[in-house]
Amino acid sequence: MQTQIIESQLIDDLKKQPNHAAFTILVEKYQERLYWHIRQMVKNHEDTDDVLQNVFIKVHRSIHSFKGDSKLYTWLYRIATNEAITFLNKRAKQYHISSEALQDRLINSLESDLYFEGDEIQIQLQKAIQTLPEKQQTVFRMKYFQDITYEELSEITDTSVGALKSSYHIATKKITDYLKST
Amino acid sequence: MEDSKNISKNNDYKVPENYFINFQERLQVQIEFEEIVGLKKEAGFTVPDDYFSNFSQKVLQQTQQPTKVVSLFKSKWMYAVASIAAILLFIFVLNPFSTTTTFDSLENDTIAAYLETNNSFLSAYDLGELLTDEELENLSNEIQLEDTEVIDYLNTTTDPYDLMIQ
Repeated sequence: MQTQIIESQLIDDLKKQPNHAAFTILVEKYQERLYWHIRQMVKNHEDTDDVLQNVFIKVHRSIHSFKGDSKLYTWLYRIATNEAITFLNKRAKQYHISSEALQDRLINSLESDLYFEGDEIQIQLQKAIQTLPEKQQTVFRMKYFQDITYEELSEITDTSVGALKSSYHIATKKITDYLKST
Repeated sequence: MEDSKNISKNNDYKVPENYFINFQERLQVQIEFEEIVGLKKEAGFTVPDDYFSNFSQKVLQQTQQPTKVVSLFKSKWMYAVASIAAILLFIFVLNPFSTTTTFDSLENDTIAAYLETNNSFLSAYDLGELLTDEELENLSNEIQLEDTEVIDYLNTTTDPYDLMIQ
């Protein structure tokens, strides 16, 4: 309840002009969660930084149209997901390759990435996730790496908790099978 | 099996059908997954030092900048599309190749003005080539000139010196 009051106050403050202080609070509150969400999708730090900036710039421009039908973080996650997907599609088009081929290229470049300290199994895990359908990828990443609750996931993805649990289980099984076969 | 029989079923709690069968399967998958991947749930990604402590100021500065006006003709493709659209508009809307104007609908004055301004390209010889003998005959029959008109015409278009030679 307390959180809801604070959030509604923050939204009110964001809709006023100037809203520098409220906007700074918003960014500082959600920047890390959204960063890791985007980073899981686009892999590279520089690209993640660009996408994250665009997300908050869009939020700043359109906060007046946020009606509060959903929770603020749900709205932010949706904007971040869309922005990351748009970025990836543009990049694939730019290279004249498919989305799958782009993901392969991004994962293969992780080993030489200055901001990647994962080992071989973490690279294999990324490759395994890549083989999943898009929605299962999203569910698995958000649940496994970001530890988002099923209830929050349900709001973000507009899917029932039961369907999400099933999706996560299937994703885990497929990933395990992939890792066992490599 | 004995143990299962001894479990009291005298309670109000219920579970979904096949829950325990599914539970075993889910548990098995989770154990296998953790055996391969390990317990730490990290993807291995890192960020530069102080990245998050500076990020909000960086974004705030960006929101203060005036919105960029993106030119419609930023790319060559837009130029190409605009050119094709202009050509199509010219052909289908203005329709310069339309032949709705017939020769019969032209005023005599319009034809005369045309011939007068373009007479350097259409000589009496050209006319003779274009028209058949019959058409020339009809033309001479239709043109009824007064003498005065002939004299006026000759005065304005012929050199008296030429007449003297002839």
